[in-house]
Amino acid sequence: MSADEAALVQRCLRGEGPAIQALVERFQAEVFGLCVRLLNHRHDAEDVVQEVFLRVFRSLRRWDSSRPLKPWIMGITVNRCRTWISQRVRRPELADYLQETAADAPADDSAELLHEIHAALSELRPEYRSVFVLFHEHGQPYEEIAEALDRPVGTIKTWLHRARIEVLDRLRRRGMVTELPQP
Amino acid sequence: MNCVQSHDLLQRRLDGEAIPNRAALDQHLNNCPECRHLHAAAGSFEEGLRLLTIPVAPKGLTAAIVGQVMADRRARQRRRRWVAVAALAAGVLVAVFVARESLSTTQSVRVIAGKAVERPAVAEGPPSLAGSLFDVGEAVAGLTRRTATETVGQTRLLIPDAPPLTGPDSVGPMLDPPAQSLKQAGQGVAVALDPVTSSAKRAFSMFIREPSGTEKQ
Repeated sequence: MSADEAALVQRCLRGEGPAIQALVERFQAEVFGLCVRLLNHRHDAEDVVQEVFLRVFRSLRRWDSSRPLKPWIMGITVNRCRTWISQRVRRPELADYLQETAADAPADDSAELLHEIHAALSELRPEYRSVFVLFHEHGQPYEEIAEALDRPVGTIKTWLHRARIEVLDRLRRRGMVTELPQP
Repeated sequence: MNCVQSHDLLQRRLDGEAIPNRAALDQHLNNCPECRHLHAAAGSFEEGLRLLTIPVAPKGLTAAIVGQVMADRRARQRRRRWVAVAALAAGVLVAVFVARESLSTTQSVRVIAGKAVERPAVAEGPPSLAGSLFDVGEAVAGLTRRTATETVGQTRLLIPDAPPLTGPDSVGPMLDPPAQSLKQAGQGVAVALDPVTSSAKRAFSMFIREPSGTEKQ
């Protein structure tokens, strides 16, 4: 953990508004991105992001200052998303990544590929999806993901490998594969 | 190379690591269509990952979050203050209750014993809780005694003096009215039965006289 993070946390604990804003700005993009991927719904993600930061500031005193702050916050994010998913059983899951894709649609077939990747992600089990997004989209190493999800590194690797195989299988089934040249 | 090793290399490739022994892998892929398809899909997978972008948070979300966090912080501080006040009040109530209970126990013991209780000896120094409780008890007991005496005196002023009882003879007049009534009732019954008793006396006299008259004839 950097001294900068420790100082920022101390200022937050004293209730300094600018410090609280700085901490939110530092992690908001990643928390929101993870929420959108795990919930497949932007509006739900906005609500959950606010819950996540409420939790973060309520339990900031319990944070182990010898460890980095980011995995701790991402762990809270994954837990809140999991709780949210379990509570919205009766609500339909609106996969509004389709709108996101349409808005940013490239001119070539990559839009379809991106759509298939998103669709494959939405079909993954929540824990597989969390690991996949944290590794491939947020670029977090295995150790930090393990810390965030409170699981051994071996378990994280297994989950990620299975998630990849499921995504690859979907891409193959949907014909999104350019065959290697036959010998 | 076998399929398991091929899968392991695929995962290492997707981890972003360099693939060792590339020639052996290519040879296996040439002979295994299943692994060849999987590695081909990995190419599309990597291309799709490059297209993935982290969703951008809407404008104003930071301000909303900070506002909510600050409001929550204020609410929690207020709640903590209330809890502290409530705990203090509860503590005072408990202390008062305990003090009253100990006072009533002390007074009961004194009444039963029927003799004066001296203040327990207190060592020199700051006042102790036991000493303070004893003083409070003495004050409350004195106040209660004075109030009771004053109440009795004022009540005596309000109630008129009654004539003193003189002895057992005074019970008679008190019981006279019912005795008179019984006497009158007895006299009434005697008067009502007088004709009956007179007739009975006459019949008895005639019965006595009759045999003696016959004997005379």
